[in-house]
Amino acid sequence: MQPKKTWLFLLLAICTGYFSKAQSPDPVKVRVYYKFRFMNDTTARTEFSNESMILLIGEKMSIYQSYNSYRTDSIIKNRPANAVGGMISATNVPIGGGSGTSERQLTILAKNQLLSTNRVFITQYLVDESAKQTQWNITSDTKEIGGITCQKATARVKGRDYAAWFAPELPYSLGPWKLNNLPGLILEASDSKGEVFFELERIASDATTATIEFPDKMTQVSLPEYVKIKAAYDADPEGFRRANAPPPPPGMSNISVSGSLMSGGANVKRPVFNNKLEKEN
Amino acid sequence: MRLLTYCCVFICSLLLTVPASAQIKLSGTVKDAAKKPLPSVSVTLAKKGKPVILAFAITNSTGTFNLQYNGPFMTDSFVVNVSAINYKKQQVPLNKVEEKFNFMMEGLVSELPTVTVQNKKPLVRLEGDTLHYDVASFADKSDRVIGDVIRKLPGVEMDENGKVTYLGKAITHLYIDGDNLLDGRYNIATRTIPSDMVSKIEVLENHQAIKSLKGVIPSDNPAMNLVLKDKARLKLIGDGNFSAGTPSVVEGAMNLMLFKKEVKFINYYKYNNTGLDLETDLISHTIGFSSFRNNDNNINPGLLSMATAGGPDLSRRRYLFNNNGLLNVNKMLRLAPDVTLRINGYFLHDQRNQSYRYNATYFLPGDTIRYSEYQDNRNRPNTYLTQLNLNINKGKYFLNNTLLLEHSINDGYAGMQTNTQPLLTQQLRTNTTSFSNDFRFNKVFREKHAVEIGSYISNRNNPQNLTISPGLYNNLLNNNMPYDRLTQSASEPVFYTDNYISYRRKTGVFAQSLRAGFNWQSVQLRSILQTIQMNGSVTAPADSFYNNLFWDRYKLYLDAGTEWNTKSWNISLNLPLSFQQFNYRNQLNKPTASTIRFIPFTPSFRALWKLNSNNEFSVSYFQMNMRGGVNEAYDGYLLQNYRNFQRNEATLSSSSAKSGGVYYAYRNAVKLIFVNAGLNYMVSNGNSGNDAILNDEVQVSKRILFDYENRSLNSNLRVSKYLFAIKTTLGAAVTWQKGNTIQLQNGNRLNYENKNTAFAVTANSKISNWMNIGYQGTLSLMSSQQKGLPSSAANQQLKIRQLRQTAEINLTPGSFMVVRFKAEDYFNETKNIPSMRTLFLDAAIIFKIKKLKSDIELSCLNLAGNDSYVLTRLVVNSLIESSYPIRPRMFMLKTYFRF
Repeated sequence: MQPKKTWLFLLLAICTGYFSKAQSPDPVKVRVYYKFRFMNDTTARTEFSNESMILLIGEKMSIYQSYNSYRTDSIIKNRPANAVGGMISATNVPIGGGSGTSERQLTILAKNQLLSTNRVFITQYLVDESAKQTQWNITSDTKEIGGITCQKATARVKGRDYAAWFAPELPYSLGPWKLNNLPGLILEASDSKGEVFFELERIASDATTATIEFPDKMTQVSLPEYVKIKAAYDADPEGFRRANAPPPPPGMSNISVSGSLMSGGANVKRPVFNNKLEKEN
Repeated sequence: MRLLTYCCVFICSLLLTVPASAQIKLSGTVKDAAKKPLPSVSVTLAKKGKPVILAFAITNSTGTFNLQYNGPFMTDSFVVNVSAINYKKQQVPLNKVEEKFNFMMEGLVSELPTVTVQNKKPLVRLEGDTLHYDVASFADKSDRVIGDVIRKLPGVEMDENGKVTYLGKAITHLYIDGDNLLDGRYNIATRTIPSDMVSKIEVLENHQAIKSLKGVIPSDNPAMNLVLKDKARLKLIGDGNFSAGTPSVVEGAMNLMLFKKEVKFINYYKYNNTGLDLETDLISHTIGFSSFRNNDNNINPGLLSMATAGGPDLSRRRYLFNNNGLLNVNKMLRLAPDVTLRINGYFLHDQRNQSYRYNATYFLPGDTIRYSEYQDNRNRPNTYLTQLNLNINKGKYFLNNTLLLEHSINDGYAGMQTNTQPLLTQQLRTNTTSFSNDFRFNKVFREKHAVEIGSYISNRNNPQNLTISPGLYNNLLNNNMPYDRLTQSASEPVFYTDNYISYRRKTGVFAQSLRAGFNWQSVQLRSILQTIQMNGSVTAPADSFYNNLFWDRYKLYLDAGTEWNTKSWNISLNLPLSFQQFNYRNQLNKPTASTIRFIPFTPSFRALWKLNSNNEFSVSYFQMNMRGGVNEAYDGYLLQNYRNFQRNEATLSSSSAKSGGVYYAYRNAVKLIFVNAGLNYMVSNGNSGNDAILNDEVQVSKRILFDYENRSLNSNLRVSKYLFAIKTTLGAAVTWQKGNTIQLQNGNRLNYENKNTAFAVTANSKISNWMNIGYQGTLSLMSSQQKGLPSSAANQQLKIRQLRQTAEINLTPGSFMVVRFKAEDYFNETKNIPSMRTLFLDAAIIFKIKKLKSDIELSCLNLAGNDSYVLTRLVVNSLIESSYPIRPRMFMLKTYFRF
């Protein structure tokens, strides 16, 4: 029963994807650099992963992503036209760490619509997160961040209580990750448990050739639809994989793996990931 | 019916007009000049003239908005702001509780200015109870080790010995990446770890180091943690330096450090003859995880001395003539996540030469006694120490065991001339061996009940020998015959053990504790004075110059404590009850033992009030009640040094003290202001003291019974502030002390009143990228006056003014060079004595050679070439003038390297 259901959702998802119209590249006006710190292991409360993130704001869209992926993209995009066969040499493409953030958040400014990319197995989904808008409580606390006066607001977002510092003098209702919808750009945010931190590093508004492209090829779904797809995958990953992966070429159906475990691996302590950024959908 | 409707309408209209119940409701649209609706526009409500936003709305894709605010409405007090990127900002006053707006936005040609907003990392960030200082923001290019940065942090102070305090409270632990590698000897870390290896310095404000006790016993003691950079955690760090210069000086150091999670070590060897005292690396500032403060076993191991004057109050580097080496090994192994095994050991060898001139004038009623001497002395201390520690710090239980072995030998030699003795040589040899084991274990049951046992055992022996040549005091010791030399030998082996079991319980906001235990101190003091005649034969003087004392002290104790703890209050009361028995017997002249039984009452009380996250206030009171120690029990004469015989005539002294104090601290981590203030008053009473009989030749002290009372009042205020605009940490402190002391001299009871006021200012500024400045100044005003004297006796009143100033400037004209100037100025003024000023100048130029990862430094110490320093000191009724030679002008070429 389960695979059939999955097919249904997929069909639905693909249909919605076809209807979303293509958009032209949007030139970037402002780049906001953030530092994202996250406690991966709640038993080691002084250890944080540290990642540079960037929020690119254009005229029609904005996108928030890891700085590494932004750099990789721009190198690929700007590679010389005469590059043979589009080969990219490993020397000029920075390889981000495996634990880096691959999700991106895209906002269509005219609709105030927040879309987040999420991957389930091999399919990338563009999930519409704007149905449930964050209800912020504004406080009277103010402080300066990088010389800009900010005001504090608090709200519960995805299962955590956040305090966000927004800058009324920068009237973008944007911010890092899925934090948005304040009367000013969010420059700093952290959760009440001290596990998540978004901190401004710098804002640059000088001229750049960077553009934002709408990911036309991605399947656009609503949040409840995505939750259902994710639940279907989590319930039966094997079935989901079989249903979604291309069939193996003839004669290759039985792949056997032989060999012994790598030695030395036992001494390497694996990092612990027992914490989730999103505790609720 | 009609009446009812009427009433309803009336009530409704009433409700609507009452401002408190009003809800502001705004709605409308925002469009551009072409009447096109504008989405994502911020509409905000604020009080007139105030920037703080009270409520907001953001227009949707049709350009409409709805804004609500629950608060009292008053006409003429609210404004509505409308702002969007690329449009001119609008502001209109709000006239009605419910209003509909249709804004038309004017386009703006210029967008955001093309500038870069740089959010520098916050210098200091407060997260819960932890204050994070960003090292890069406080460090500058001339800083080499992390201690250079710690001393510049606002709210943190580091004294000359390297002791770190936060808001006036001493830190209990200094962790390296969360690990306790050094216990109290954290100078090793602050003076060795390169400052560029540390990313953050954290101050853990209310730090309970023992995980199992976290929920049971609150703490308001701070601890410090050095958070290392990733590059420091990866591999072995090796660095060092070597320098040579004139006049024949050598200095060198080699450090090997590893800071992995599983293994950490700091090992080094340092050597110098340039006046750097390496012994200060080994000062233990805290007791770490031990639960024994050893208040009951503090017997000074040195019975005999050569009576050398203390050092001047210059920085030691100026006057120390040394030949000093230190091998230091500190290694920690993590056996399991919460289990560590640690070894700390060192070997220190030194040779110190000192020569000084010393003049003392004792002002006695109707008599003035002058004493002067010239001394050349040499000390050769050698110390070995090994310490092994096992620590298990889990959520359920805690275990800490430290085994310590120490051996130190000191060889001293002094040649001196006094105004009564042409040439006198002294030799002092001490040999101290000690062993101790410190054990502590606790376990927590059902998260609220903690049971703890502790056991401490130690043994020490300290044979020592003082030889004086030629023989002194012929009339007293050798029937008026001259003789070759006089030898005083003494030893005082001490065995001590302390054991307890304690139980703590937490019920809601209350916590109770009960601790029962016993300790036992067993000492044998033996001393013998011998005269050696010209022909080499040894004779012993009269029996009164011998001691063979057996001493035992037993103590049974029961401490009951109760604590009341809420988020903002912590009140604790302790009622320790103990029974002590002293048995002692001097075998030579008193065949019967003396027995003393004693039940002291020593309650203590403390209340801490945290007004809010920034303010803290506490009040404390304690009472003490003591009997004297073993060194008050011997009654044969002991030649403590060549001019002082000491004996005890009276029974053990009893003394008591009552002390009360208040403390206040304020900290603001956003504005970086730190303030703390304290006031302490203490009254102590005693019933015995040393009666010193002075003459120009010898001082004989006898402890006799007499009642006295001392009172002292101490107050201090410290302020520290970081000025963002000029990147400067400013600190200021005022301390004021007043007290009295009573002395017996030649049978006279002298009562003195002492006053001491000190003002201190510090500044550390990173004024620009290429220059930083440091300044430190202390002005002390001291006075001592004998009470009950007529005003005509003006010379009995002594007043001293001292001003100490240090200034340092570092210039970095490029990334390849640092130029440093340093000035130290000492000013002394004693009433009736001409004032004195000494200025020291140092300079250095450092070339940074990036290719070789090394620096080359050319430095000159004591540019002005000062050769001596005279210090006039006031010790109650005596004026002591000491003259010290100063290290000469020193040129050094130094190279720093890292591998």
